[in-house]
Amino acid sequence: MRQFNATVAINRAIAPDWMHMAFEWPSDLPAPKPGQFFTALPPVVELRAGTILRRPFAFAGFEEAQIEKDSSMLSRPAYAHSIYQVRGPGTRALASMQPGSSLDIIAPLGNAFPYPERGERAIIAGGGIGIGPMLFLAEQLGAGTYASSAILVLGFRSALLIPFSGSFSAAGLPSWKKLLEKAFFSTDDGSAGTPGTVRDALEALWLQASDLKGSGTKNLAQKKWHLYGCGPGPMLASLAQFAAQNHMHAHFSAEQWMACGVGACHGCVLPAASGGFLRVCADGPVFDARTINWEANVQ
Amino acid sequence: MKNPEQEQSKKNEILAGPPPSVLNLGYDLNLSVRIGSLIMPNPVGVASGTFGYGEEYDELVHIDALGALYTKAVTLEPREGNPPPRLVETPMGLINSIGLANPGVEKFLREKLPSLRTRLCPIIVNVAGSTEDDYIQVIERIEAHLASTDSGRPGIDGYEINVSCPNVQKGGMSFGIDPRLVERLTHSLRQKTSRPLIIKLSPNVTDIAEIARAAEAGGADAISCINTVVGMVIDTEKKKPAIAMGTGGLSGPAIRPIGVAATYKVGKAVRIPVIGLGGITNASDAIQYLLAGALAVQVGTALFSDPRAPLKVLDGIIEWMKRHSVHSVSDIRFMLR
Repeated sequence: MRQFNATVAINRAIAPDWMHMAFEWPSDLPAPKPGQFFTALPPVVELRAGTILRRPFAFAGFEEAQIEKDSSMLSRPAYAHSIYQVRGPGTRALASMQPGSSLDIIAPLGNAFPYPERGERAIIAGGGIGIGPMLFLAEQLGAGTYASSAILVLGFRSALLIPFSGSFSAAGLPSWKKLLEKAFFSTDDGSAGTPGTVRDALEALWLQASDLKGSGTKNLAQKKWHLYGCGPGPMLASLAQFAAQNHMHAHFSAEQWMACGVGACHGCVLPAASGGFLRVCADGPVFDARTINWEANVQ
Repeated sequence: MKNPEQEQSKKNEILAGPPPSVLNLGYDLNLSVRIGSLIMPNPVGVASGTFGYGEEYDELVHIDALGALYTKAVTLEPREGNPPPRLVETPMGLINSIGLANPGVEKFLREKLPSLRTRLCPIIVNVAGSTEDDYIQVIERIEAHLASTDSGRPGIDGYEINVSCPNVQKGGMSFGIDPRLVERLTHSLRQKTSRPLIIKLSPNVTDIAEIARAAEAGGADAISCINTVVGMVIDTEKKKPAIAMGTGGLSGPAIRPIGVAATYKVGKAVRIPVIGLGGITNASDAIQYLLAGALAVQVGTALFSDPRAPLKVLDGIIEWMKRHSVHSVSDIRFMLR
């Protein structure tokens, strides 16, 4: 990890109250992995806001630097990407930053999603703003149709809130849009994809997979599922239950109010399944679903 | 046989030397401060509970350049801490209710002390407990361990006694509000160690000066002031407190004027040094504490916005001393007009 001042390259809306931020990544710093996060210090733009803490955000993508062919000069720096929701004074201040301005970053922080084991198919589930790290993971695992290995399932409150749609279609990384084209959706109001939650969409896919079992074709059932998730607390509690019922590996990226971001203050804990607490910033943010008491965390 | 006092004074000589950044100033600046038998190389430490046991910040902070590292609290038994949410941000502040989560003294000695021994800055172990006996046993255990390890740096240069944690049901705070208990506890601990003994006081009392005098009477080498201020935030939509424990400890710039006033009062009440903390974010904040009577300061919550804050504060103090023709940082406490 390192603290550095990064130049903001992109900071634009991709959905109502959702922003896509990209900043230059130091050439000598290891690239972030899906699941890892960074903290950013919001600039002081609202004098009366009075925020003092850094804000944690998951990486949603990474572009390697491009190097000139016949020299070792960089023709384009590396960029780290994130998507975030404007929720309060801190994120409002971040959203006001113009490309070219400088942002105080500490990165990369936390652990990353493990790769699926041999013979496992990655099922990547994201809910709301939690889709950020899942897009990054899906890109690395090559999510696509049934024929490829990983499947992306994304949940939103309504079709109107799906990013890069309508007036936001020009925003966002091309790779994200490709992933969205191949993703399964659920919406709370039924305006797109499976009506209901991400869990409902997964149940439907699971049922389909069971029906296809033994048919001999390349299908969902040929591989064991490895469930990856990020989203609101109730969604993760529900997905943990789904994974346990169907005996599948599951890894979720969790969220909690955070202060130091490096494991020192013990502020950002979640209840552990075995008793006690685990720190989201330093023990996670990615946890084997069985290690967290998700139900207790929702209450 | 090695003489521990000689060892200590030899180490103090090393620590008392100016940090590298000061060497080239061409100025005759004395940044060192004396707390009991310990000489800190400069007056800026990092506050207990905000810096873990150091390792967490290794990649972000030049730890050896700190005036002192005050560890996260150590208790006799391991503590899991309080249920989440443990934090809520407030205007220019932070409320926490961690509940002294720590591995306990045995695991501390086994797993945390080895890395502390490699540090060049003084290490002050923060000690907390529920009963007088808890505090005594932690210090006895640490002293016995240090006596049995004969080579190299002890890795522990003093103790800061937390009699003021607002976030544990029993103990801590209950000591910190009663001058007789503070004096008795300090006196008992004084028998157990010759290392510097610093009593960390709560602002949540009627007269902090009275508690400080009690600590001095009990044999304390210094007073840390202040611990967090009890605070509460209520989520009006959920109609429940924002943190699980209801109330917590408020820190950050929001409490700085409270800390400066407490330092001023305590500084007038006792002859032992005062270590000021509470909301220090920059050099000007720290100098307010020094002018109010503090010999040294601690930076805590500011680390959460900028891990470089403590060393920026130190640089700013040096710059201020040059501008005001102050040669010794320990003189600042007598300069308030």
